[in-house]
Amino acid sequence: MSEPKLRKVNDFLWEIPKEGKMRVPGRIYASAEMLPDVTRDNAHEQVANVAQLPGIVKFSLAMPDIHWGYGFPIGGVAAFDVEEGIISPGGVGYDINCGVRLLRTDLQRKAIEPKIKEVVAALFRAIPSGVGSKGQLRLSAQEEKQVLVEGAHWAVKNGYGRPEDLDKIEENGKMQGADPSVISAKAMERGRPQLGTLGSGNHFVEVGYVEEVFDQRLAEALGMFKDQVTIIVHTGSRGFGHQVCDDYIAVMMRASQKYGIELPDRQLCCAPVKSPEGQQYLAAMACAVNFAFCNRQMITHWTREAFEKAMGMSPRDINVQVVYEVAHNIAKLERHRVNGKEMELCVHRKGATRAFPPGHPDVPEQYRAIGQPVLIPGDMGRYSYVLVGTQKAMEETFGSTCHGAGRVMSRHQAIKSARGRALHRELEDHGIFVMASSRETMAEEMPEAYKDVSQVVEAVHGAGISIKVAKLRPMGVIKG
Amino acid sequence: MGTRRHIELVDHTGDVGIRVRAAELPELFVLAAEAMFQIICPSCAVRKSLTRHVAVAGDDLGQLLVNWLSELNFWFCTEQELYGEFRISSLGDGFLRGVARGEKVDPQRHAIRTEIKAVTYHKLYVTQRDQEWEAQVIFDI
Repeated sequence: MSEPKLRKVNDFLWEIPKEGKMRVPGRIYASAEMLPDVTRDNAHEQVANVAQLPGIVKFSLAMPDIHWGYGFPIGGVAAFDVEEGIISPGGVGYDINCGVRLLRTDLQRKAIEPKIKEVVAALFRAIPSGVGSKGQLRLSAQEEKQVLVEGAHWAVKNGYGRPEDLDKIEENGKMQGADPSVISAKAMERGRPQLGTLGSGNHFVEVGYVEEVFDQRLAEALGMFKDQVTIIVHTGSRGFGHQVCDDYIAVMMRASQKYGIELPDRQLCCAPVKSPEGQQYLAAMACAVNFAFCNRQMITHWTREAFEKAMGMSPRDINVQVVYEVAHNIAKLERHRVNGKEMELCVHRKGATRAFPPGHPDVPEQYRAIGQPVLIPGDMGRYSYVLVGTQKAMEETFGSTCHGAGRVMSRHQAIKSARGRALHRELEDHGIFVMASSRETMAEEMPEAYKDVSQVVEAVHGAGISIKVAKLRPMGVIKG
Repeated sequence: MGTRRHIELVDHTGDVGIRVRAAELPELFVLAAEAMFQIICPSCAVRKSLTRHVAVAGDDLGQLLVNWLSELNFWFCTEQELYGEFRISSLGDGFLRGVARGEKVDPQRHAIRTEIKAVTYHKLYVTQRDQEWEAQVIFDI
């Protein structure tokens, strides 16, 4: 294990000096107390590896929830000049557009507490979850192609949700440039039965409430208030996105050789953004992004229905509305100022969230005065956060911030540590009712397996790359 | 010297991996597939009522191993096929042919534990030392 060379820039920022084949320095956002976690698994080496890729501008960045990924670290942000730089499936990840949607209701915590078990059971029945979960839909190949092009718009058009939901989704729920002709038959087959499913692992639907408001003005602008019942949907593009990534890693292995790109790690395989391979990956990735947008839209629809049934209330009384939806694993063509010059960049965010500032045209009109909402889920036993993006993020991190807590314990360790414990009961003692597809999922996802998300959030707030708005506390969770 | 079969799970913060050792290369690929299905469904008793033929290409042994496991995982994901027996019929010159035998998942008998998103190249190796083959693969789960 190499000794990390981290130079302190300020209390929340550390720099890996440019050396060897690095084209730019690396920069990691973290508090001093978080550094041992960052360096323990050598994730900083991956930050330095990404800095070697052609066309990277300014810095190879990592957010405080950084941990080992494949090639690129999780929590990594890297921007490449569209003319000279590359695009890499490893910089997006296998679960393309894994992301989070936050819903708010008109309900108060007290209204739901006596019925939380019924609500969670209704959600568990309504939303297919677990390993290999299959949806209620029987899509034809033609319909699946429409989903890939239209994203969440397909769902709304087919009766899963409301038109106004779409305004509050990154990219308005439909990424442009999606082209189903560059998708393999395998990806189509793997995805078709999985639309409208939660999947397994760390994905969940969580019912909670606003425990603390940090900034009243920002919370009001988001339609949020203390003790308000909220819902978080965390899932992605399921087997469809996994297969797209897999397919294009094979393409990029060959492309890296073809274009003479030297790779410090095979998983960083890539192609010039403007090459045929790069353009095809962008078109394929957009298909997976749209699959995930549609997936979360359908889950939102079933969430609304489950709430109405379990609470015995009308849609108007509950009033489930989308606050916002962010992508955690995505690459985007965006314009940013670099050393005073405006450039078109291919920004990779892998386990990182876009955090655009007030006034940015890509922020929904309703939120343009406050900046883009940022949603940071924690673990099922503690809390999640809502923040907004800042101008400082635009200047320092290509408008990016963290995405979650990050694991500290392997799944195997977690299962071992949970042996003999009744995790269900422990969580219920804290007022959290959980239904999971398996005992192992519960154990793997137990709170101790994750970093305390508040440390991560304090670091990005302290660094000024996003601002805390509210803290949410879970009451009921369904786990895949 | 008898055949040494060795399967070990590798702990990884986010995910899980395997390390396998065998005297012969085809056996190494068989063990890797066995280990992957142990992750998907530990202690599953699998009947051999169906046969899946697999043929994959790869530039080197590492890529062949990734592609062999990815293909088996694809059939698990799409057709819910669980396998308990594997055979490699040819391996070399960038090509692998193999057979997996098993059955469709039966929820009454099979407690599926994990979904594997992908077989990765992260920390992947296939190497020969002291007349023994060893491979490591990390799965994104």
